[in-house]
Amino acid sequence: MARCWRTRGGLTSRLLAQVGFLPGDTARHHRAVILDLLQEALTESGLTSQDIDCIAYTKGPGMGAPLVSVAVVARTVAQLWNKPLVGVNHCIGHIEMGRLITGATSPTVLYVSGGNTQVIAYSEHRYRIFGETIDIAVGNCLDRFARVLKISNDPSPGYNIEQMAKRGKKLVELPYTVKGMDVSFSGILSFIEDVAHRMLATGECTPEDLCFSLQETVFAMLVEITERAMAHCGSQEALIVGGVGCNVRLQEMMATMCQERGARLFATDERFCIDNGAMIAQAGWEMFRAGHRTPLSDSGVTQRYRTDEVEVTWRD
Amino acid sequence: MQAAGQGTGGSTGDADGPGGNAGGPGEAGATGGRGPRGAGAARASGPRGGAPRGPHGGAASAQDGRCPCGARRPDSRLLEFYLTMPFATPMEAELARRSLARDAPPLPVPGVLLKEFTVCGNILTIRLMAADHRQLQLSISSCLQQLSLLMWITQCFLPVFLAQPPSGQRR
Repeated sequence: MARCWRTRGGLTSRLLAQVGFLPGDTARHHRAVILDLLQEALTESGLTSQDIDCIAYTKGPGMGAPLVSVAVVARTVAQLWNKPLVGVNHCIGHIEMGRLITGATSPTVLYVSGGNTQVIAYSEHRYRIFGETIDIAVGNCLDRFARVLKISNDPSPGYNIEQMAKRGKKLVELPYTVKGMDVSFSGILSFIEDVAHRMLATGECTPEDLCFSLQETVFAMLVEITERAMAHCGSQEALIVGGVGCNVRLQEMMATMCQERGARLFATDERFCIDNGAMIAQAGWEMFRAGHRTPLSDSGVTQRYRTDEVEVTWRD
Repeated sequence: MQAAGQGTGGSTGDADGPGGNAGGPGEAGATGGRGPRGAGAARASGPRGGAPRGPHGGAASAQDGRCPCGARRPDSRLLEFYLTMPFATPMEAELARRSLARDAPPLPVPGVLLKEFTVCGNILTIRLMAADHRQLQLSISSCLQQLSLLMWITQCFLPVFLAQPPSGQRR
């Protein structure tokens, strides 16, 4: 399923090209490809509907229109094939895929993407949110920064910022906002939107310097709140998940922090960091084995679905 | 499109019953009887005052049976769109209803869209209501796209489903 999903990745940059992912466009894309994808997955795996144990789908969080489009398909297929439905939390999908791929047992999780920024740790059958952004996600901050500097969206703004940052030489001081266990990115974004063009016009810095400075600042904030959570939990493992987790500089900074603490860092590559169907299947599988079922009457999608709302019965 | 006022009529309750001018020409849902029928019949109505009428001529009800209009101002407008879709069997119509109805808002809120999905025999009836024309237009577009997707999936997998031997209790 992961391989089938990746072949559709070329559509990502087109969707992001204008003003980011728009719900209507994204839903239209999902509707256009989902049937072919479903058939391709069955064909490639050599399975039939009778071999399927359950239908896992994303119940939330996320954009409403795309969630509904896929939920309609999941419900229809579940009824046609007479299979149980399992509604999966998107964030938990990332965590369970990260644990599967890396082998981390009970890590403190840094979940960073365009839509979410959370520090999560497992405790008593819940993935507890220890810290999070109080405004925009870090990936959203990076994407909007890229738009300010007119950085290309191909293949993705975050990737291009990362490559430009490698050529940065000067650290520009930017607002650093950590509030206890939480972080805030809207201020740094507003600051850059105000001063970037002036600084570039006067030659005070280059776009590469700004990319470098932004990464160093926001990633340091994330490392701080992750370390604080690890200290609170006495955790010896850290796991990075989510699209921004592909960033090598973030992984380096987290690795340095873990090393200083005698802890171990786990991270995946872009196949599993970025949103993918396999992670929903993995989490759905864990839930199914633990006895979770989502009745049709409860299968509506939820745009705001907190990570800690799910009872994690598949772990001790 | 089936013209308003040409509903099947019949049952108790007048389309122009108490509650104002809900039964005037161009007023969908005011049939006083069963909802509109016929292949793919769809109707839309313009603004109307008073309490909206359901397919049976009574006050329109949300999925939980409560009247959504108790608190509406007398001069409020409500826009409505009806769509009926025939299926080959009642089972398929019910399958479609179950797939589409789950994401409808559970209770109507003034100014917010109401979606209602009902099945009678092999006919699925979709009713959309909103106080704002743009909201209604967006909802109609979204609903038709989801219905189209459902039909696509069903066409692809229903032959396989029908070919399977009976396997006990269905959902």
